[in-house]
Amino acid sequence: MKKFVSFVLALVMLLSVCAFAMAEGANTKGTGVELTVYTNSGSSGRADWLRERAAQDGFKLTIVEEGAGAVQQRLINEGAATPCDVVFGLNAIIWNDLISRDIIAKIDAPSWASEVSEGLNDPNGYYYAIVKQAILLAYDTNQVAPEDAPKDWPDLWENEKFWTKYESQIKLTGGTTRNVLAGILTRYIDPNGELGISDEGWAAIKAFFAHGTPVEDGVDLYAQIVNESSPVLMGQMWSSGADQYDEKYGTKTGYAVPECGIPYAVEGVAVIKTTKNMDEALRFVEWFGSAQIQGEWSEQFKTMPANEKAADKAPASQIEMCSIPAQNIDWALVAANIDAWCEKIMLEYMQ
Amino acid sequence: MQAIKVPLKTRLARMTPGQMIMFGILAAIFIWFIMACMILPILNLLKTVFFEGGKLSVDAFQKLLKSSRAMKALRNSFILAPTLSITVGFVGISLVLITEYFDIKGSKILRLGYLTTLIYGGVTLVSGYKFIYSNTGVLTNLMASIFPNMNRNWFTGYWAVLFVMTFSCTSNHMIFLRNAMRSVDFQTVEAARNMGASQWYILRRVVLPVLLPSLFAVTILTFITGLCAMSAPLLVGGKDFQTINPMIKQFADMTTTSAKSLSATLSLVLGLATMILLAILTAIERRGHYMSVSKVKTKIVKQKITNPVVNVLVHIYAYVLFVIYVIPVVLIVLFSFSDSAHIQMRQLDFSTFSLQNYVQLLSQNTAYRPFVVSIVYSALAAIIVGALVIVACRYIQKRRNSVSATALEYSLMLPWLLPSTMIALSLMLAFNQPRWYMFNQPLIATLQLLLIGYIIVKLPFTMRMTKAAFFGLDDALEDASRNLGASGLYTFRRVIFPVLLPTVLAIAALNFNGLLTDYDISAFLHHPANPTLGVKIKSLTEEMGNSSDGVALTFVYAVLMMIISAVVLYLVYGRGSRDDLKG
Repeated sequence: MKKFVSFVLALVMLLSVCAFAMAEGANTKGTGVELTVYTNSGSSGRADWLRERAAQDGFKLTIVEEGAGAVQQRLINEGAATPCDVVFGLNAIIWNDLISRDIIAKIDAPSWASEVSEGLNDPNGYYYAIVKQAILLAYDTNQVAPEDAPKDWPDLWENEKFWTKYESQIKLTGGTTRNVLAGILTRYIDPNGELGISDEGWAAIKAFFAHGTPVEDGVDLYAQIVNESSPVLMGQMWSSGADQYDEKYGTKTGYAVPECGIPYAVEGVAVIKTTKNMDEALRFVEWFGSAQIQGEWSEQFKTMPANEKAADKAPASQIEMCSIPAQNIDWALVAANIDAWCEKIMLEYMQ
Repeated sequence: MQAIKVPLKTRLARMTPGQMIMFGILAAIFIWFIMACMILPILNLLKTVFFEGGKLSVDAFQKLLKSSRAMKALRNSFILAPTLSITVGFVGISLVLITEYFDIKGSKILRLGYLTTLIYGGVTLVSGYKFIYSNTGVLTNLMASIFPNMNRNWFTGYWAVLFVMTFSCTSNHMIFLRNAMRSVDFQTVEAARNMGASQWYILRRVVLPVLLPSLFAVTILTFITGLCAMSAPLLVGGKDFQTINPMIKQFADMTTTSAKSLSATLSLVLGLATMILLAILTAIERRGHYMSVSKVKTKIVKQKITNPVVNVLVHIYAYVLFVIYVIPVVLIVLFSFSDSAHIQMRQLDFSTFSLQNYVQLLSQNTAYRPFVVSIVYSALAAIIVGALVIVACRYIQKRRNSVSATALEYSLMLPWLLPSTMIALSLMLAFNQPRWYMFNQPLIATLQLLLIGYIIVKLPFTMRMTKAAFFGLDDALEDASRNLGASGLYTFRRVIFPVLLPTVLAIAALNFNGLLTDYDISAFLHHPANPTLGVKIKSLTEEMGNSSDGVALTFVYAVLMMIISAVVLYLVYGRGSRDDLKG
């Protein structure tokens, strides 16, 4: 009986918190203090949409949109002089790098933090998740039957029939590429190995690059897949991209579902430590991550929100792709080592 | 510094107070700019990169020596640079002869075709070539229909890179060599002919010597372009012919000190090679004085090729070149009306044509702003660089061989030592805190930071080409003006500057066009509320962006930029030509 009562009480509390949170998230209004927001997720009208939508709720935003790497470099090198107040987008690797460089402020969890799928928010309260992208090994089911397709990344180099059929990267600075490499290398963690990776792991990476067909710069994966003169049939893809490319090229994406799960690129939102507008920045985070705004964002841009309350606004295909379990990856370890790993790959293994 | 002071004393003694004040101000500006914006930031960067924890680190050298990939890429770069200098030299000279020297039918149209490299470059240009030669390209399809068993992936590797770059790097020849061609004295040509010299002999012994100073200058540029090749190897080099610059760029894009030190080491190797070449050519340039002997120049009359067979062959050659130059541009314009998928598959399908890309781009309320920002910055930078370099060149010209002149010249060439990404980084690192040499003002998120960056990266090119123009000046002009009692400033303003103006304007136009699409510098230094075009365009193809039309939009931008560049060149070039005609 006691148990039951406490359960009901807990439930009531949870519900009321949720209700309160929902109301609060959508109701938070800006005060018009100008905020400078850096993001890599501003292209194709996102920055414009956000600026206008935020203005309706009283926020005045200056949005700087650049590639993820450029945002990272900017924040690191601008140091304390940075005009940036809030960052959103990026991925766990970059977030952890920024945290280790003491650039991100630790903030109290916004009310919507509890609505985000488990394991996506930073456990230490530095960044909170907004959008998730599944990082897939994708192929076209019109050309490769699912039973003939690779089941996991190692199949590509271990099984001779996939050699030259997949794309190997020529630039290692992209977020998707780094997530794929992290997903492979963290399977071979060995504190005594070179850069913390066992010899077996390096041999795997070597084979991965040796047997792939290098990316043709400026041509996307799906253009190669449909090109009959190209051997390429599969490669890395982020989940929202899979839908778009299918629409563009008339392909039908299939993807490997490895037993160990897949890496997710988690786009998040965080406040910069040196901000002079902390209160407004926190209000913006509260507003931006709310189920209401994330739902609108998701409807508009067909991405998978991290906020489960907004999940039903995402396209069915995204929900399906993003239901693959997340691979267990120590992102802080990846962030600390990924540049060194990439450096070694570039010098020794890339074609 | 001691060496500079001693000769200055005598000079200062001869100056009027007004001249002295002006000289002082100019000297202060130059010394401050070179030290505060270039030398100190670069030293600061090199210190953070190579002296981690106060100790010199040579890890980068060891890693690179161990890496067969890096060594091979470095070797490829050093193969490409000299061979490219030869092929571009050959094609460049022939373009100038076709348009300016020989009597070729339709040379005006041909010239427009050859000038197309001035309005586009980089990835756009190589994409244009791929529409023709790559595995799904127009020419490949045509050949495959005749030879069904051919290897469709024939256009890859060293020869493909050399081919693309040979035809895309002739811009400087078309401007500077052409200007030089116009100072060939027709009377000398006539005299040689009257004495029975053959056309070939005249070309070799009368025309070519006049072109030599400019040819030196543009060859240096070609060599550097080859050494720093980026888009062509990335897009058509394939597995076998990758060069070093893409690697430099990628290491520079990584955030660790160790990656940065790799990038800096590799670029210092390239930079050193450039400086050695420069020093050698400068020495040769100093030794010889190649100016035409005639004081009363007559405009050249186009020469008809006397041998009919050669005449036909040259015409064929001229029009083949025309086709090679023009088709990529035409295809880029056509594809800008298509959709991303067809652009990437390189399938020209007229049923996909629409104005949708243009509408989408121009209807965005934020679309026009980056244009304005880039145009303003590029114009300001082009003008300021031009002005700075003219003053510097005047000083160098008058004080040839002095230590201060040499120091000034090499300081302004310094940015060639590092890739522009690193220059941008050096500025960020230097000015993310108050520095006494920048009046204790941090420059991050200011409007002037990007301008400084733009000015710095355009200094070496401007310096090299303007200096060549100064060396091409006829000393007699200045002497005459002086003898008539004109002051130094007056002589410069009314005699020397007007002669230089066409070249100066051409350089400014090239700088403007180059900066218009800059990404490397803008990415790090642009003001938060004022992104440049390059940044905007780059964001279209960012992964995980939602844009399925990103690639198509980059083509629209490319076409719009071609239009702007063409207008700028027309304004400058049309003007330059008129001035020439007047003279």
